[in-house]
Amino acid sequence: MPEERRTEALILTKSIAFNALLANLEKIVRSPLLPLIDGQKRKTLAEAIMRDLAVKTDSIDKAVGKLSGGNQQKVVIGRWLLKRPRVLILDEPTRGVDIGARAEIHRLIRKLADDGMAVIVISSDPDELPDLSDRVLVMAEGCVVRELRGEAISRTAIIEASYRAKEQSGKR
Amino acid sequence: MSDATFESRRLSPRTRLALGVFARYATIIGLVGMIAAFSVLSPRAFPTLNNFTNVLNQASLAVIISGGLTLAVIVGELDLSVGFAASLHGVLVTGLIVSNQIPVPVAILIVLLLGALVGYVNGLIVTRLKVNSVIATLGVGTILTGLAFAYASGVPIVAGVPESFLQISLGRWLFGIPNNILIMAVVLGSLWVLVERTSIGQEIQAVGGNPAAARLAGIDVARIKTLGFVISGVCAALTGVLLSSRLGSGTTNAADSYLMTAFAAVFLGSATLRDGEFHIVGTLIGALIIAFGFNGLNIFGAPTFSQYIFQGAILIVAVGLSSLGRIIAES
Repeated sequence: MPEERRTEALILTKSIAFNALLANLEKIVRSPLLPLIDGQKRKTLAEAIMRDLAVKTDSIDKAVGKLSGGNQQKVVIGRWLLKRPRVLILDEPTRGVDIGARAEIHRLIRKLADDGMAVIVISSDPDELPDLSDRVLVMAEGCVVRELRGEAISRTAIIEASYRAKEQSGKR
Repeated sequence: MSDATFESRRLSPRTRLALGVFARYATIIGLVGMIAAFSVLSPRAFPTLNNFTNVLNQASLAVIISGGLTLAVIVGELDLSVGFAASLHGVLVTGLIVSNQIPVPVAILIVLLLGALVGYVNGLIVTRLKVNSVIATLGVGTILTGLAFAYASGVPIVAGVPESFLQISLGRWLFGIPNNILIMAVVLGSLWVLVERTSIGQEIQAVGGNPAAARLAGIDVARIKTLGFVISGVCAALTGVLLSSRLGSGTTNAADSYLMTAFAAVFLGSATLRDGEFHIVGTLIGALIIAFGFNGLNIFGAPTFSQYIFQGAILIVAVGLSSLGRIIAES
């Protein structure tokens, strides 16, 4: 899932269903040989995504740009979950998302990981990772500078690791 | 984005709503208003079944070429080669039939395939060589004009055009409806289904809406853009074939002026019903506005120069309405 939701993930003037199903078009056609869209399949699948991710909207045909940031992000996550991936990479999943939706997205990520999916979260927010992660790799200047596991993961440990790396490279 | 936001801050919600409604329905109101005005001003000549059939028949080629162009602009590119391509293919099909004695259906098939090839080349130049589509298709179009002159030495192919070829445009094979209108309906209907009701159409719309997001959603953007050019090329070739059949000759430059008509129709269409988005139904309405406009000007005996002025003005108004729609959509 890309970092810039509005420019890299969504087509804002198109509907929620259009955006949610964009990477899964083969699932909503009548047959691979006749790629006509099956309206019923489309509706069922899009509504299932909305329900599973608790996207707050009155219609799947509403323009996705009219949703809040958090709900937009859920549409993007839903798009990729529909592919049942074994590894899910989320780049800044809660950037520009309000606090309530942020907590919801965090719960969702935790649940996916607990269910056995490998989830890699990329974040520049040191507050985000401690509640979320089993393991954190701190990167600075393009290199991994510290690995943190379990209890060792904390906001201060992450910040300290990234700044110490910067100091050292500054001295060199 | 920032410009649009800035614009919208200065508009009150009510003004924005009113502008939005105006921009969406302006073209349809314009079309209906124009038909009404002509009917009042010329009650004998204009509002007759005969004249309406005539206008549709006249418009059919413009609708087909505009429909193809719509696919190119939906994927976010401009195809300036359509008029020149139609001219070349009109000359070619006549030449193949007259000089090479190739059966009419085979000649048409060859020319349509060549139309697809021209579109494919346009697509390759734009997606692989990363040449701006305006420049690429202008270049290709100019080359095509050169090829048409080389093939026909600039002399129209008139003699020996078989009746069966002329009958394609002149005939009325179904319910007394002119063939061109039927062909137009089939082509436009197919394009509409492709864009609005198939998974490929969803990809086409995604590529036009946001190529970066489309690529990251796993869509082959270059392939879809090339497909847009190929469809545009086939429709241009078909227009060339039908024009030659209607004129009874293969004439270099005969279809060049369809370029302007097609662009005006497509941009008028994008301002119709949807906010600045290109779509097939919009293009049809755009092409009809132009056709009825020309017809009215003809009926009132307006001089030739006024038709150019009408077409130029309508292109500017069309693009203006289209961008107004987009500003409102983004606000």
